Amino acid sequence: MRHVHVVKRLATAGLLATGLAATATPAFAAPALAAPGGEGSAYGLNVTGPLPVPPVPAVSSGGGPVSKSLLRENHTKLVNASALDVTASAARARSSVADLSVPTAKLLAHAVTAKCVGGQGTAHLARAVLAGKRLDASPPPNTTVPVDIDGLGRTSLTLNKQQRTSDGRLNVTAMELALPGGKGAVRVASATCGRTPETPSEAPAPTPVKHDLPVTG
Amino acid sequence: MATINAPGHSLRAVTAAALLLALAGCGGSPSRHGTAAADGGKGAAGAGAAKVPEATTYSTLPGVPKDGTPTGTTDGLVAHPAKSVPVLDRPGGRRVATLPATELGGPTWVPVVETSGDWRRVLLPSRPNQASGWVSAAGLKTAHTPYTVRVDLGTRRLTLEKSARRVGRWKVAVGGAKTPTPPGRTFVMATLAPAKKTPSPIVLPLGTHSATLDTFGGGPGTVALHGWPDTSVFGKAVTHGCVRVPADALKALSRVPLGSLVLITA
Repeated sequence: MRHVHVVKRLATAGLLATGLAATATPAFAAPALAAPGGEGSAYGLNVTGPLPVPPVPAVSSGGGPVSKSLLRENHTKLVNASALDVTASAARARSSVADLSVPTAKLLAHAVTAKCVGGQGTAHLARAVLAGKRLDASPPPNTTVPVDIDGLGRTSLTLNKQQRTSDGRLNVTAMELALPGGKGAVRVASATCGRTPETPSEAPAPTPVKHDLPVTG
Repeated sequence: MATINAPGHSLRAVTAAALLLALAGCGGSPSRHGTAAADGGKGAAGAGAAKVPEATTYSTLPGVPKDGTPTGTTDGLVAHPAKSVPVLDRPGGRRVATLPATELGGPTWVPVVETSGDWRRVLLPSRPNQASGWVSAAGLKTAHTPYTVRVDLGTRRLTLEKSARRVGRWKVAVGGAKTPTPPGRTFVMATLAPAKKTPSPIVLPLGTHSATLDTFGGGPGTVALHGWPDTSVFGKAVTHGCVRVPADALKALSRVPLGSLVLITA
């Protein structure tokens, strides 16, 4: 089977550190029951599939800004990155990852950034190269690029992936590399935020209007 | 008695004189005027608006969904359309009415009773009672009212709550046996200062109507909270549907933001 083949290949490449994880970890650190517009979250890197890497570094905030940084992420040989910075507040989130490399996909980038502000997302790729070809620095949402992974076949890289979460917020992921055979994905720089939180002001006391309406007495 | 709940558009030509029939009828006999008055709002605006009625106290809106929770409270969210907005029968559905920016000469404020994505379900001031509809959140300014008005028809008491705490309770006069005050969830639609200060210097029309009087005093049978000079009526079921309240209650109620819920229970 193809999946088995993929896993075997990864395993023989010495990438399979632990036992097979049958289920994928959540795509991102979804804050539970966040009110729409009430919470932002971000992470730098996340791998799902047989070699899961939980979202790192990951933050979420329903109030003021919260930030986290990670100097280096190279737990697996699948993906390496340095200087992962994430920050999130109620209505905005940002994630940037520097010196990204996914050797098997011949993917390199100097910096990968995703930003979500008030329910609007953007992605920026600085000096990103796939198999020797330069990628658009500001790709339109959900740009898909075919990728050939040595010995594993063709898959796809989605740039500036934008999707609505079930609670109505926006998730933007700067890069998402699907692993061949549907065996998970590598996600780089992801930010989720809602619209500017509705903080309805106190309703005004009415001003009586000079007007006559015959009412039912 | 004539039924005169024609849609607002056909009534634009009616002169303001009809409006001046005023509160004089309140407490008197049901009027036999075969006329109705136009609202103080702007004419319907925008393409397609002409095909659907404006949601005012004068109109009847066929095809609008009824309030699904006529006894429930909300978080106090109220909404004001900056300009006329379409009212749909469900989120993204069919246009069934237009909600004008003004009602009875003042700003339109309606309670939000349900939220679905970018859509807000609001109560409407039109017939049939418990009329509601969905409007896009994009065209709405929202605010929060801490007030809820409760009218208990059984005990003939009105309770004013602020942030779920009782701030006032009064004996009031409610609708008589033949002209009962309609139970259900409605809202403070307007705060009016009628030209004649008697029987009440302030009248608070609600978003509901008498179920037994199609018209009253030249108006569309709108139920209101208002004062009454004869204090002996309080605690009795003697009105034509309105809720007559003591002077201090009226003073407190006149500060309740428009769109605040009024829960009338049998």
